[in-house]
Amino acid sequence: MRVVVTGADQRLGAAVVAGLGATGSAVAAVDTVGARRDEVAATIETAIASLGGLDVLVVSGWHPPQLSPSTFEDITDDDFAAIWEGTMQGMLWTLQTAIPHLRESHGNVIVLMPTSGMTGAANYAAAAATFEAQRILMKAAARQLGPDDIRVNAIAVGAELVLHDPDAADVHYLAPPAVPGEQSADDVSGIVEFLVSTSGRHLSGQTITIDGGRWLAP
Amino acid sequence: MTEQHPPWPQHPQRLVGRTAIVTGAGQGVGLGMATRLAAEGANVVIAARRAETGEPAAEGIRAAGGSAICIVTDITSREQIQSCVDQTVDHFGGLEIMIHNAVAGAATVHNLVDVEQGTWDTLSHTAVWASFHCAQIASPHLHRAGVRGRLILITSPSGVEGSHTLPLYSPVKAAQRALAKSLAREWGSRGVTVNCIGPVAETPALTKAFASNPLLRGRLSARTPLSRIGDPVTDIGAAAAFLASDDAAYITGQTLIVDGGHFMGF
Repeated sequence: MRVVVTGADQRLGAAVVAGLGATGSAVAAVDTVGARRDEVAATIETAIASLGGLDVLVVSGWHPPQLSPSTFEDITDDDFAAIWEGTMQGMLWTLQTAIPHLRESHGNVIVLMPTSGMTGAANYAAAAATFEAQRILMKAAARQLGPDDIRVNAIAVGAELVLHDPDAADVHYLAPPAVPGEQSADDVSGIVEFLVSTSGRHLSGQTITIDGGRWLAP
Repeated sequence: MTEQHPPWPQHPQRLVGRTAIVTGAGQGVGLGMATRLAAEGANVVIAARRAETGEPAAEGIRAAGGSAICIVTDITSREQIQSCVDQTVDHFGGLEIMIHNAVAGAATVHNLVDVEQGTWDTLSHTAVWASFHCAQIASPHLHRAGVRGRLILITSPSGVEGSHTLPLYSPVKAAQRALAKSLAREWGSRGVTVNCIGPVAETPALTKAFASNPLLRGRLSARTPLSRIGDPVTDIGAAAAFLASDDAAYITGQTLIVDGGHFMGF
């Protein structure tokens, strides 16, 4: 598979690059978070050209990569712009540039984010809003690109993988994870491979949550 | 559509002595909510971009015996939201209920493959940035109001399920839901509640859509279990008044879909 991974300098993206590379995919690792539309387009076009086409686009990463807690009243416009505009526009223009290539390959888009957007997160309000927006843009893209035989799905990881204070996420859940044991970013690439495989040919617009069976809504 | 309902019973007076700001209240769902809040006794601030719609809206509420003023506000400006909140508190003595309803750019069908920067910017600024600014600027007043403090963000079923025709409308409406959940968690210990309403109602925007596509009304009604399009005052306004009242003091972080049963996603 020819794969472009954005946010590849961050933990989740890097794990996907390593995982897919290890199973034989040709992977181009890029960073489009926080970039302008023309910069994003140039970066993505270059990466796709280096692969000779695109089968899978993996969208991951946000800015700043290290999410630090902040009382809502203390979030500045600059803070908000960094995570909201940086992440959303990075995703939007990446997707836009990739669409013509994905039409040719009948390819797949996978978007990665933590569960914080679904749960809501005290002291991470701007990040939570951004993650849920990414997830629902994924659904809208699935609806609009489905007729071109492009599938779009999301993988949500447990918030404790990305929040500065992992214990902060405990209060968001009704119960501990169903499956005990540590989460790992290394779990993500196998799910990507499943989603884009022929086994997933009728799967689109979905969010696969790999958090040990913790966020179980709806 | 309204005349098909049985006569509306006498309104309860659950919001006497409270003050509400409703953005985008010059028309449509915003005006419907402002009208019903006023009917329940609230002082209402019509925060409208244009005095041509905002002033008549406030005058209409006053003529019906309610308490309302118009403060012309461009909600894409942090300074103007700050000024609106300051003037509200000066005029009425406090702010208990902040409702951000306004949005622009929601009616223009677009495709992801060629959508322009401007479409994103309009939706992002009116839906998300304005929610952020309304919440942050109202925050000290809502906290002072304690168990009477309310933040209500108007979202859409499209912000849950994703829209085929308005793909960029979906994420901005989703961001509002997650913001509401996060603030519900953050402000809950003060008794302040934060919720969303996802309405479908007869509005100027929908009327325009029906005019350009006569089949749309029938199609939408046919998919709606209650077989009609919502009324801004009696349907959406009633839901807003409920969430604003003490009757909803134990409801927070939720999205109330008020669309006749069209969307049943939860």
